[in-house]
Amino acid sequence: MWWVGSSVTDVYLGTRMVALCQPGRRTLSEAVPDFGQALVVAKRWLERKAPRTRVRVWLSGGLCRPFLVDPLPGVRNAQEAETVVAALAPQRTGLEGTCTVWLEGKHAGLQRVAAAVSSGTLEQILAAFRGAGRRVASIRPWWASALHSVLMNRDQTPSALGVLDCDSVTLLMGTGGEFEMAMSLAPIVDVDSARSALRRAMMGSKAQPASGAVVRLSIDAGVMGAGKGDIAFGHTIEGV
Amino acid sequence: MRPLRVEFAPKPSASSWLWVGIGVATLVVAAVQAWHLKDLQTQHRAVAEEANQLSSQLQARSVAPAVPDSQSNSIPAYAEDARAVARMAAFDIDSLLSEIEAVRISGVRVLSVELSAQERVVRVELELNEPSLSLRYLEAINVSEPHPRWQLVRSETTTGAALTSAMIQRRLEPTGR
Repeated sequence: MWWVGSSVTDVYLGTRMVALCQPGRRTLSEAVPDFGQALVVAKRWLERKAPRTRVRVWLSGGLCRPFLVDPLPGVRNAQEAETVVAALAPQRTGLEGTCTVWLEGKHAGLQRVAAAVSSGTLEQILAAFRGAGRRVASIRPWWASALHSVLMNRDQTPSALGVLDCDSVTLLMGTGGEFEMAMSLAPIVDVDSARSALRRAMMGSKAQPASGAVVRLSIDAGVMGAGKGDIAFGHTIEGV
Repeated sequence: MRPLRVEFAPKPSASSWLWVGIGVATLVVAAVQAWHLKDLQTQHRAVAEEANQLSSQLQARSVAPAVPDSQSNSIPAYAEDARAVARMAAFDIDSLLSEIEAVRISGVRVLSVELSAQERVVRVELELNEPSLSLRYLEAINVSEPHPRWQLVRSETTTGAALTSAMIQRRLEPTGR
């Protein structure tokens, strides 16, 4: 039995591809020339064909980029820290215009991970999906979902991870609970370039990571729809 | 590495049940108002009929000259410039400069002040010894304001450089002169 609002539609948005899936089945994947067109395609499909579910949005590494933040001396609270990090984001990520940032909470390590999205991009997403009559349950980067899945499911956690999606490779590196690198390189669309970028990062690392893996978005790989904690959309994992 | 719970969706400001409660209360109030509305509508019809009669009588007695609409629809280009000048004139620039001069924080230098009448904003470019000084400066310049009017627009640190540049801005508001 299907209940209104009990299910979700996962929407992947990038600068080269848009994809939608519902639990158990892929409903759409389409190559697009830019993000604006991706949003138009997703909105049109939601308006015309999808049941009235909530929407979980997954962003490509080209749209949502991570970076590391050193300790911020003199900053007194989370709001101040976010203001400073938002001002630094365009320079650190290469994103243009005003950025909205997510900043990791305080922890024992020296560096924190931040992720940035162009504020205009976020506004466009919210306006489009609300305009289609949908509630936006979450907006997250796909690379964070891939990282979570790898950390939860692999017997031996790699110390260097490249997450290749439609328009970029996101490099995440570190040992134990720490991050030594967090960045997105765009545009990168083929797995060889992603592997090369990850190998170069591993060679340049102080910690000399022993193992690396590339998680690759692969819409046709068969895993569709995300349960709680699963990775949304099809993907493959390859060692480096 | 560790899992990252990145989230950009806006957080809901109130629980769903609160909204349901507000909705039910609104419906009850609306039902009561609708009951009163019926009576008011009857009274309104009577008054409207009377007003129509009076209006017809008035029109018959006097014919007002028509104002051509075309004049109000086209705004000449110089009018925009004149408005911008008027906006600048209405703004107390001396007080603004005093406000900036009054804030002295070690390690912060004012590089430039830009007034834009078109955008109705003033922007101040700062050079800082460390990034967090931008917040100290903002706090100091907003200290006498009930609501902070100055906002941080940009902060940039060049890799390897000791200095940070930042830009703050506030909207121009007329003084009522």
